[in-house]
Amino acid sequence: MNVLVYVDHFRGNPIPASWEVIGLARQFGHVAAAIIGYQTEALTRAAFEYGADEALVIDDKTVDEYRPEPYASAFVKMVRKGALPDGTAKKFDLLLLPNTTRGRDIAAISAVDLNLGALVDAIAISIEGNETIITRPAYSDKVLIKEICTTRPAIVTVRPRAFPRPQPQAGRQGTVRQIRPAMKKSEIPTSPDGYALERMPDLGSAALIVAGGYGMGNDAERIQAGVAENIIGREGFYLLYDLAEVLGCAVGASRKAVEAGFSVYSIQIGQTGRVVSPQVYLAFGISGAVQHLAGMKTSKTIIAINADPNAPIFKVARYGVVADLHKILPVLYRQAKERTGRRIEERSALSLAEMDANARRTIRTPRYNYEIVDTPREYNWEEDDPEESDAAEKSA
Amino acid sequence: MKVIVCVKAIPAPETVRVENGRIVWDNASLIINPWDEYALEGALTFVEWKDLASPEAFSITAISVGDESAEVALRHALAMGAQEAIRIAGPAPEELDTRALACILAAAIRKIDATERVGVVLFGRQAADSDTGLTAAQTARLLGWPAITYLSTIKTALQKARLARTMEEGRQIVNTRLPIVCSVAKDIGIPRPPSFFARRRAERTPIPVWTMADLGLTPPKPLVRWGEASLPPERETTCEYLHGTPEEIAGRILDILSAEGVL
Repeated sequence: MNVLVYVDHFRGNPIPASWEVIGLARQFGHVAAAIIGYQTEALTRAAFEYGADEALVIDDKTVDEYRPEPYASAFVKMVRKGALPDGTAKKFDLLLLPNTTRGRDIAAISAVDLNLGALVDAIAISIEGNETIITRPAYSDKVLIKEICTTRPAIVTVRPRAFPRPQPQAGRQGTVRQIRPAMKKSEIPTSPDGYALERMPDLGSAALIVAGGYGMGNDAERIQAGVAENIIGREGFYLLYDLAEVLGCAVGASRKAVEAGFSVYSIQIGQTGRVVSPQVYLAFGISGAVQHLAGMKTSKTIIAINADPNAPIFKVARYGVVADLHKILPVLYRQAKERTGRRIEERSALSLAEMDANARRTIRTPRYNYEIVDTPREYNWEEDDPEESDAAEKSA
Repeated sequence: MKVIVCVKAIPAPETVRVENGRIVWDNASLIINPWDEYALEGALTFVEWKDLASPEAFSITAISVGDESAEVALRHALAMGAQEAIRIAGPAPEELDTRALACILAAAIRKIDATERVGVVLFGRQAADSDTGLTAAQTARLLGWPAITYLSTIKTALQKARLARTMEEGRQIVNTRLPIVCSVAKDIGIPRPPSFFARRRAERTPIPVWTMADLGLTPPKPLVRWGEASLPPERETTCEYLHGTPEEIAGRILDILSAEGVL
């Protein structure tokens, strides 16, 4: 069977989920890697080392920055070119992409262009006859469903960390086919105008995540001393970022911690945030509401630190510590620093400053939090349409 | 200029259970897909910003494909501040996949566009029942308009738009021209809860129904169907509690991290 795998990357930095997908694709047969970007030699080399047999490459300045249209058109062109160099004999039997924001965009648009069925977020794939069958979570990870695509090939996006990452073989080679870009610069409807980037490793592909919950703000001694809860929480997260820096891992937060202003939405884990599946999930002061568990319960090992022995997170945790996290976290940070020997670089200081700047943009009001996008805007929630109210009063 | 928000009525996640390999929610009433509330918030913010350079009036139309039960979502959209709502009576949900749905929505958007120019079409980032999140990009492709997925901010001046979209690495800022089709991420802002009077007004607003014949469309046969549903395997863990002084506990945690190979 011939499989085409889209190698997802951000400005040349590969997303590790791409290698997992190549590893999965090798179970089906011949693997071609679809590489779209600018100055992609390193990506191509890495794709071969992780198991691709062939690379279809569109290396052009017009696809330097990701946009859905040129990337999807490029992917469609690769599919149409076929698996063999003459472009006629064989077709692909399966098109795989990592389930990232880019992977989903490309899958969606290619499905329209190629008139194929698209399946997303697969955690298992099989091909039976002409049907491609996947298993995937739905209803916010509450149920697993089988989904069947009746076209061949099917377009399938694969959940990150659902399949093992293959061992790279240094120096492994393959054939490279250069393809011309599918769209001219003038045909691309959007132009990139910069980024505002996170400075942390991505949560989706992290092997270790340290996460903080509402408990980060609950330090009895300091509250008694008159320190506001959100300041304690914010400082707790600074320490968590420092810990993540010395451990070389990513930081997550629960919804309650984000809403209390301790941290920012982009690292929120759970039903309305990111879904993660690290090797180890180290939870500080997270009680483990169902909504949070939906985002992290597929983690291999969960270590929970919580003052409440009845917190539901202990039901899913492999290791539990019933203690005040504010006693453990500083000690853990010091010991981790000694053991790993990593130092906190300036990069971290910057990310903290950025986090603070972001956090300051969340204005708290008695009833609602608004994320301020650019300039503060105000709504008067209390005020209803006066005419309506008058009419209602009169009729009453 | 029209701002269109595509909404969906879904069973509330709490009411869903699995019975004989099928997903059932008994007689529980449907709710608006929570992600669509962010799309509506995005539309309302966008309309409130007002395009000062533009003499046009802006209005929001909510559309949804489905039977009468879909009206829940449309009425919520009206209560939040949409000016009008249109229900499109389409095939049964089993007869639809995201591409077929996108075809119907694209036809409806074209029909609206023929009477009043459509500037922005907004979707929630995904439906909280099927969790696919493909329809926005597919509708954009069918219309031939730029797809801006995971939109986090939007600003326009005349026909130009400057947008930020959220991705794993942060935000990407792009410039484009209207019309555009967006799926909206949570960072657009917290959806405003509708007031009591707005809800009452929404209950009384008539919702016109368009049929496939009105759109002059035969939706394509679905290429994807759902099979058996099951519950994810229960996580069987016994929690091993760590005791001792903070130093001992911290040491044990680091030992565990080393044993797991993540240090």
